[in-house]
Amino acid sequence: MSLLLTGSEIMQVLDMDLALAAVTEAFRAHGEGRVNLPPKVHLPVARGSFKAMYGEIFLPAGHICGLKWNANFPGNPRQGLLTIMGKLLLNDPATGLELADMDSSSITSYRTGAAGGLAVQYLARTEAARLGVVGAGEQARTQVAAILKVRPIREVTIYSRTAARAQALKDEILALYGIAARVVEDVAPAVRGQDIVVTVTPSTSPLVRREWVGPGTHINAFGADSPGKQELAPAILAAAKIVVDDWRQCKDIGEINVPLARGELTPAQIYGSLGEMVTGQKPGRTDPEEITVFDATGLAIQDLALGLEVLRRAQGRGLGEVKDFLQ
Amino acid sequence: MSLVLTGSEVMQVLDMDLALAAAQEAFQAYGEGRVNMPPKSYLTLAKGDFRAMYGEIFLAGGDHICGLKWVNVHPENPARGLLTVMAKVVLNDPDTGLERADMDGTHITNFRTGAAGGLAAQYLARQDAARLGMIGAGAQARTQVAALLKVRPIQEVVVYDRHLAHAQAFADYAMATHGVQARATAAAAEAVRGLDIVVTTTPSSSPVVMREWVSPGTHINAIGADAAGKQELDPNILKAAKIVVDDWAQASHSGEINVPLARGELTPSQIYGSLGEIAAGKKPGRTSPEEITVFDSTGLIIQDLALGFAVYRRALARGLGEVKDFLK
Repeated sequence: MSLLLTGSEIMQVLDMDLALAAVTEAFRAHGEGRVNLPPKVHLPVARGSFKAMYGEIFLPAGHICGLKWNANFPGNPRQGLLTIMGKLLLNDPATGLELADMDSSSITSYRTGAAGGLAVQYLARTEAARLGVVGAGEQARTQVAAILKVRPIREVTIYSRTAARAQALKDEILALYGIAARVVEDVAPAVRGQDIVVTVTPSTSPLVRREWVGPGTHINAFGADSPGKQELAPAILAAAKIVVDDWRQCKDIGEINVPLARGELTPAQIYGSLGEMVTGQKPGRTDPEEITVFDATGLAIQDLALGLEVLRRAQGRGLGEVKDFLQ
Repeated sequence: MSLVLTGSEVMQVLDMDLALAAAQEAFQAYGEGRVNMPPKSYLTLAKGDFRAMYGEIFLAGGDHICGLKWVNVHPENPARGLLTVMAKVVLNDPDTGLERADMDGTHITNFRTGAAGGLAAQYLARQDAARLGMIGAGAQARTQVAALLKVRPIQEVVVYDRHLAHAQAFADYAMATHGVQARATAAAAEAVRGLDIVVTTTPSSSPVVMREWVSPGTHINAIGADAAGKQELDPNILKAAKIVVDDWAQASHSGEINVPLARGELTPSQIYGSLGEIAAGKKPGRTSPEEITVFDSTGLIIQDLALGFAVYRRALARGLGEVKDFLK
């Protein structure tokens, strides 16, 4: 029996607290080696691409495996469609039986934001109050939501190539959180003097320069998710404590992929993984002056852990449609 | 909007004629370079595995489809009353990524695998092939027989299985379903010697069929090997045969040829070509009544997509299934 859940059914049970809790467990399992996580694979087509991400995770809430099949079509918004959408399947690892078949759009956004929040919890200064956001898409929204849960943010500065999008995000932040955000027309003021900087752009050349980054800044680098993408000047990475979500994925598709390929960075300069911080195997921030960077590529285990929580809550509330595909 | 189809809904529109037509479409597209098909990926678990297969195909009629199959293999499942292999097929619009169908892929997998065997026999078995040997009597064996009966005048089926009772049950099934002569045997050699077509559908990792059993002119569908380390045929059979693969990248990694290639018992130059090249008319199939031919089948996502799309269209036309908007 599989539980089918649409986007709005998922939103009846999904919130950032649930996402932060689930993603913490996912990274704890990653740090403790309780995951089976092959690298994600891609199907490029003419107007976009698909990703298949799959894996297995042993969680306190259960042992689960599954797959996310996500489309990424940059031209979609012009047709009134989402850029990123797809499906998340959960299966019983012991038999292969399908347990859930759900829309992946909001789970993807929330689990990505939650990874940013979790990284901030371990790597940003405790009193971090000023947040700079470079990029104003869907990912920017859940980054802000998650970071507000873990740090006393009072000021948000937004830069986007498209001013209208920055303005829309500003309005949303005021409405949702009562914070008067500021829109800026250059990247520099969204970085200079900020305690936390989030980059969520599809850039293939550095947007953030070394000289804009003050001591003690934490950066969540979320845009790079395929070979050739990068958002940060390599000199920032060279000066920073770099934490990855998963070394194998990050070296190929994360923020570090380009500088590694060019020899501007060596594997020895990577400090560790977020899972190692969550489990306490390595400390997060140890000095108020250090620059820290979290390189996130997104892991299937985040989707599985959050998907399982959503499934459990939906079952508890009788949401969704129970279907036996084998009948 | 996605059309959600369960197994029984799929079976209301799926038959072997549809599967054979879809297989011809899929392999012809492959042979003409109208497919985009990365190799399948594996998730290995304690009690089995999952495979993620995904790709894109431009069909001859102008339709263009992409999608994914997520399929498990759990060998201990039958002991729990569950199927060993269960699958999900998702079809997407290649222009927007929108989901068009979300269907049980279990029957589609069985039928498309049978149909590939039928298509291979159509191009590679002798026209008058009438005697069929089956090595292995599981779910795959059933659709192999169903497809072969569509393309060759099969009159007699000899079935071998490690468990004689399974072989007997299969022989009974073949007689009842298809009205052919069928008998079970406890000796693998008897299901090969003197037969025109031999089908192997076992999960073996050492040869089950020996060179000296195979007569001139035999065609073999080697279906069982689908992971590194698996093999069903004595490497000497391959050395003596015209070998046709479904896909070089997959076959060399996980097909019947994977073990002999890794051991140096076979070289890449000994592979004759792909079923797609033959289906597209780029290479001839059988050219002599005496040659031994082997089709090495690993299973391609484009077979699932072509058949899944045909099922989707028929189901849509008949108002079957549930239309669901997962984005709502």
